[in-house]
Amino acid sequence: MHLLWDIRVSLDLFLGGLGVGAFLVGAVLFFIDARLYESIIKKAFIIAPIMVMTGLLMLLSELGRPMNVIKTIYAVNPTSFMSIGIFVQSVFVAVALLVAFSTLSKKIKDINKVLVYITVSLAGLVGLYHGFLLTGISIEPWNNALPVMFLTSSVIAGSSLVFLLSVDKMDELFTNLKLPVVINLVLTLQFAAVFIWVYNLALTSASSRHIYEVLMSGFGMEFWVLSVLVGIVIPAGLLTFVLLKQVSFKVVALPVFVMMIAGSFFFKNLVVYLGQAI
Amino acid sequence: MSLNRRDFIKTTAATAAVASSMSFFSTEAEAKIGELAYEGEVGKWISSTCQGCTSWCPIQGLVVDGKVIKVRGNPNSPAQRICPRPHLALQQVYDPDRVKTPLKRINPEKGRGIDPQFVPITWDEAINTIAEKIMNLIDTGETHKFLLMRGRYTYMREIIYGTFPKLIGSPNSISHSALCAEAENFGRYYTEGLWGYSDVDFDNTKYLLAWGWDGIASNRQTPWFIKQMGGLMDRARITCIDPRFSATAAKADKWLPVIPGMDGALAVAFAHIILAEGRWNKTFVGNFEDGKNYFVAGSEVPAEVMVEDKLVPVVFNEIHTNGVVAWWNLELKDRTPEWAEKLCGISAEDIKTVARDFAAAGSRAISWVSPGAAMQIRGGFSSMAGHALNGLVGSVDAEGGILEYSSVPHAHTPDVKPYIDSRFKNSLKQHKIDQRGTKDLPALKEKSGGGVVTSRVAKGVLEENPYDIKVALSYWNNFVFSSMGTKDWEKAMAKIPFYAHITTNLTEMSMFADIVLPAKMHMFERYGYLYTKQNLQSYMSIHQPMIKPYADAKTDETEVPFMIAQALAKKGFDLPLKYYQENFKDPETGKTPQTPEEFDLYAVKFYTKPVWDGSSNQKGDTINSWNELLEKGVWKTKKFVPGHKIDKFKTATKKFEFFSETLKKAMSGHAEKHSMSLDEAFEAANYTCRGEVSFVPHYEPPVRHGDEGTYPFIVFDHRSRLNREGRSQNTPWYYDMLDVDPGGECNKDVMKINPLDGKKYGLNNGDKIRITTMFGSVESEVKLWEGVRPGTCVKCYGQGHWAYGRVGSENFGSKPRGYNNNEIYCYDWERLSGSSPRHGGHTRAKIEKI
Amino acid sequence: MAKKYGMIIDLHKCVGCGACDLACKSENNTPIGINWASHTTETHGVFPKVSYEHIPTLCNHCEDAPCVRVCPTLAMHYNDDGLVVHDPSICIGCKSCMLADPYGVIHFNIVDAFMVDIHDDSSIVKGGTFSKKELSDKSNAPFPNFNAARGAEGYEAIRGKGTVEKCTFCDHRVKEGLAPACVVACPADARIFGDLNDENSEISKTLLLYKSKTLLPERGTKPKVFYVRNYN
Repeated sequence: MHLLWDIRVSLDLFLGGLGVGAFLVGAVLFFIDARLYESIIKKAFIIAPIMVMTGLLMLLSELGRPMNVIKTIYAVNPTSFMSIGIFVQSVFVAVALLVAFSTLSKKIKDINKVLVYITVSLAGLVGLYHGFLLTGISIEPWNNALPVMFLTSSVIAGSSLVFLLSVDKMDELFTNLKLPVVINLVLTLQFAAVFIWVYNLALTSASSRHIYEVLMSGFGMEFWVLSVLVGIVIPAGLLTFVLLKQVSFKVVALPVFVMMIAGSFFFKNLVVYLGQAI
Repeated sequence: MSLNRRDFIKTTAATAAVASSMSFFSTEAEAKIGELAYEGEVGKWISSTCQGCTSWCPIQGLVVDGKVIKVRGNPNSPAQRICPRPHLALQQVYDPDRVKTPLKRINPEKGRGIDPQFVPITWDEAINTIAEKIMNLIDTGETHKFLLMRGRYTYMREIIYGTFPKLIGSPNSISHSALCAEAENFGRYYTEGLWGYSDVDFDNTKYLLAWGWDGIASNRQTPWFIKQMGGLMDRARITCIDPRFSATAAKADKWLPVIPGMDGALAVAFAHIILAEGRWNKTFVGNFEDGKNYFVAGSEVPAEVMVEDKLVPVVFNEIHTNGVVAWWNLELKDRTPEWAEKLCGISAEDIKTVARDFAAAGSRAISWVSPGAAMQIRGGFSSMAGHALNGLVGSVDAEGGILEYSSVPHAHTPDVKPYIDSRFKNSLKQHKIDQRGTKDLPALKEKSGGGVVTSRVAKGVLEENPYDIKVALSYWNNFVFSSMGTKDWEKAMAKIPFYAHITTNLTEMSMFADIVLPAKMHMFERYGYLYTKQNLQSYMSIHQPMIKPYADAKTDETEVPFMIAQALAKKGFDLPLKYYQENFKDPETGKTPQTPEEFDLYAVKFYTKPVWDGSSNQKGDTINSWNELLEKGVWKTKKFVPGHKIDKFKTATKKFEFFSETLKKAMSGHAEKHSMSLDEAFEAANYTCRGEVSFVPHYEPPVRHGDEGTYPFIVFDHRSRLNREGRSQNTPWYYDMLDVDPGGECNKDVMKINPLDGKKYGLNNGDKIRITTMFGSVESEVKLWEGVRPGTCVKCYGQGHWAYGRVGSENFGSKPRGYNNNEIYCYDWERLSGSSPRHGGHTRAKIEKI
Repeated sequence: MAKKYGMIIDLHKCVGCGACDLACKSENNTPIGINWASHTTETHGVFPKVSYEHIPTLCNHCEDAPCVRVCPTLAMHYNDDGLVVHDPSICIGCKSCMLADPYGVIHFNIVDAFMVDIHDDSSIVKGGTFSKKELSDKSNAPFPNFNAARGAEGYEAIRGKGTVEKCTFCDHRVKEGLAPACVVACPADARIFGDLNDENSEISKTLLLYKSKTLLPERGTKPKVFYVRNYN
């Protein structure tokens, strides 16, 4: 089967999500204590635009006429999420690059707070846009749960990436921020969003029910194991053990972050694929 | 310089934009559809004729910048429309695999899969070689050993087929007709005296009983029937008798999936009901004098009955028919629906209902037999039986009924006799190579040996009976593929020492040729003319060269024989050239043709003159010059008025014959010729009838090669609505659209079987299968489909070319794409008409998964 | 009043012959595998009670077209006559329209169509039969029966690589007062094309005469291709 949107679109959504999530976590730490988390924030602000741009490059390579993207500046369709999204992403990349340059040229605490405010707002919009890009097509597998689901997935994956790059700071994060609690909170949100997605599929209409059946019968492994188990349930379980003091955070941190990143990819890829499997 | 693609499109777009827009058709003549007419396009619409089937529709091609880019129906034609087939012709004329120059064979070895190693040569060399071979035959007094074969044709065939072989001393002009529909014509001829194709008055029809007739998909008048179908469905009941769920069956009120070859049983059962229940047309057939019905199932009509204690003779006052009582007594009395049910697979209830409804429509009920129901080993009588139903309801030559047609004026071929060399006297008296009229092959077109037995040529050549063929020339044909007995044909063609093929493509036939001559494509590149009919109007339709061929091609029927005649003249034998030059002068200027091109033009002007010189204006359309004929493309008669043929039928009795005195006379002639009794004659012709029943339409058990135990499936075939006879299989569009046939699959050549058989033999959709009969074994793919009866399997004819081109074959010259149905069929005949039983049903097959 | 073009397909008259599909191919230079005018077929029932349906399909030129809604550049747009048409010059080839289109009538050009016709110089008999390239060169067109008029209105006569294409209701013909190619090619006269805003048009009158159907009405796309009566 020839896919209209192949893995490159999934990679855009995934890498873009990583970038957005990274920026969001960087910004949160920035506003909590820019000095204490300097090195983490630095990594977050630098990888954010890189990830988003890499994702966009993937997307561009999927386009039939990538050179025409320049024309989206004047050829605008207000009812098209892609049309709006292109603007939001472009502005985000521009300001995120500005933040990244600031990060390299000065101390984190000296970065213009307003700039970070603006950028983090845009990051949130881009994170939502990833879901709306699909939802806006208006086909059953891409229902209204996607924007929130993709945003939480991006936050989980992006922050995981940032934390993975900062294993040396793991203790501080654990003690100061109660990280397992925060992550479990977001994972729960993510779980809820996934539930809404599946619930909508199963109940909305005959054709969406068909998608639900295809998902359950044809993609059981990808959905239950790779996306739900690896991406949500196992990390949440391990972090619960940490909270119950059954195991130390240091031991589970690495596999938890890796699983959450992988889960985000598997999940987004599955959703993109499923939309075309009908 | 290499042009990039974008420039390409730009430059051509510009060319088109500046091309003048002209339309020489008046607005009224242009068919209007919806609110928008279709005149005023860039380019010029030029008239010609489509020969993708024998509908022979007048078409127009839009010519822009010397290229034909689309086609439409000629607004001057009766139907004004075209079916899908002419569109495919665009890819046929611009087929990249077309032969572009004469070719010569280098490899002396001939056979399937052997590369002929063709190399280009000049026309001079090619024509000289052929002329030399003919001169050799003349020198040795063996001119009868020259064989001319034609396939499809325009009426310019008179030159190459009608006169050329005679002029060089050969009796062997062999047409394709017995591959086409001679068994269908047989039925009509021996009841109604018409060896030709009926017309119908659909505007007034109330019932159509369609025997294998798939008129909205194939042959004849296709676009007219397509246009009529919606209205016909409103006005009439349509019952489709076809072993396959056809395109017409899909629109019909009722589909009767008869078991292949059992049409005769069904037809006589219909007739039985019509007579037994007193439903025949009394004003056409007549009635018993006392008004009682003596057609009682199981008994003959009594010679006399007791009336008031007196024996009174039973008299049937027959009016426009002959022998209805004899038909009942000899055949119909026992042919009850219950009897037929067991044979033909149609329930007695359905038979009764259909017979009653059909008869209720009276003279507006049409029973239309087409080749599927007739081109079977014992199909001659099925064809008669189907057509005879029209006699029972009196729809022959009636309003709303089945009709004959008006003739179209055209010039007759000038007498060749004065130009025949006296040395050819003996050669011309020789029997023809197709063995027509021999003991087992009556081919009774009017008389013994009156018809052609096309597919028998292979046998004649191989057996050298009546003699060996030394030189063969053929055009617009591909018998190696299209005839049954493909293996015999391959051997026969390999055996002929010298063979030249005039063709557009390198077909299977060409692969055995010593010389290949590129032909102009009929629709767009050459002159010619045809006449036929549509909706009660007979018409002449012209072919004209609207584009110049990219190939160095010639017109097969005129230019090539003229060139050979010129070459023969140079070698000292000038009679053919003299005949052509003296008889085919330009009718307008009187100029003698000096070149093949002049001859081509003058000859077509000569033949069509009676319609363009104004002398036929009172019979139909007004046309007053040659140019006007070219512009209009069509001359048509006034509408045919039914009712004038009754009692003037060209039968022995002048009546519509249920008891065919005409057949009796013809068969007697054949029997006498071979000093046989009539019964022996029928036995030799592989018919089971003996005695007088042989001359009424009757049931004959079908021949099936192969036993049911080993070969559980009856294999038969159908035609695709995209088959341009056999010539669209090298066009990509054909494959892209094959699902327009019910049960068809795009890009595939599927064998269709019933899902129950799929279950029985463990076959699923898409499984690769091997189909084996007593005559061959081929590979295909299976499709489970409800449109076919369990125990039968059906595949479309047409695919399976191992030559023709790179689209039509998987590996040109060796590996076919799909398979050719003829490869697994028996090599047998419907002998009374000489036909090839081309629709299958006679061969059993087994299917195995591979 | 503005025009609002629509089409009726009378399934009772349609015989499923495919002339519309082929005429569309010659009119619009569509490559193999891309058919703007197409059809669906279905065999129902069990032998011998079998029925069959052939439904010609094409772009529905929806009044509320999902493909237009999602197009990021409005390359897919409504023209002045309400036809849904496409401007490849601003198409980015994102294929959103294809994903949003519930009818499957939009096609993507993965490669430059007809490049083989222009470049393939192979032949079965060297010097004896043509090659595609030779015909292309001789005709000074991608292929000889190329319809340049399709491209005369600023639209590409052959759509290039990386862009989508679909039925335009033959907007280039409609502008000239000609009916779409499939309409004039229909031997059964099963298609009626005209202005839905004109109550005296044949299409408007026919819509009053018969109950009409559209494809996937539940999608709320408001198709302007209507089907009347039944195939059988």
